[in-house]
Amino acid sequence: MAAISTSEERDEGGDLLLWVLVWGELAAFGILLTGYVVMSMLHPESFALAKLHLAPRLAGFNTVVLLASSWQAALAAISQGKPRRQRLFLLGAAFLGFLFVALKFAEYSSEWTAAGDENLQTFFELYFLITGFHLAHVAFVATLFVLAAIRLERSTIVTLTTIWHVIDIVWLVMFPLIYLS
Amino acid sequence: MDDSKLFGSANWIMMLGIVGALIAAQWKHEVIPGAVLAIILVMTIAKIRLIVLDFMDLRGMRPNLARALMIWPIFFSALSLGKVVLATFL
Repeated sequence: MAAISTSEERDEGGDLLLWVLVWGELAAFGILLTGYVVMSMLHPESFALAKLHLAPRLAGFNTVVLLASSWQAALAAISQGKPRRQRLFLLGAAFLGFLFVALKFAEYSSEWTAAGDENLQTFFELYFLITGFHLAHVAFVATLFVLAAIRLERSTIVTLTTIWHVIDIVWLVMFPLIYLS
Repeated sequence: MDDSKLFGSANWIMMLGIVGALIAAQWKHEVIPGAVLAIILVMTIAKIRLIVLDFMDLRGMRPNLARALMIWPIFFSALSLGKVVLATFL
């Protein structure tokens, strides 16, 4: 029986799908961040006031946590043929991802009360939407890392790692845009 | 990409991340001066460049894709800085 497609064709197809996914993510976050910038220019006072309730120190620490997780994921991707090492790095990336989620929830708990203020509502609606959407990505892919560690497969690890780096890049842009500028 | 090269790249990324976070932490509950924000944004772009080239393993492999990926953070960093410059001078 003839094969429907060669493995090379499947690789190319998977590669294309991966980059469509990557650009889809960047487009989605790009629209959200553009919306945030536009709204911050329309309501500069309330946005400046709302930012006083954020925790840039905790967010800065979370940046380092996410970067460390990204490094673990990259190590997992280059550790082909070493299953024990690969599992360890995947679980390390997942652990740091979950740590990011826990720290973000700790941050949310201190910001939640300020979100009820009517004057700050526009900022916090956008803030929770953008950071929450990002957080959902972190939690989801971190869970997938655990599953990938159970069942090692090269293409899955490469895909997850690439998406993880995109999530990292989005956070690196989001951090100065929301917390600092 | 081997372990040692990745380790070197990761060191740079982590160092930039820690320095950026420490700089940002100095201005808690205060407006960050435009020049400091510019430094943080340059460090952000440097980090992202290393992530794209070394973590995503695109160094020398797909230059057009790497360049296209870099446009996204550069655009938003410029937007972020532009917003601060506009707020300062208008």
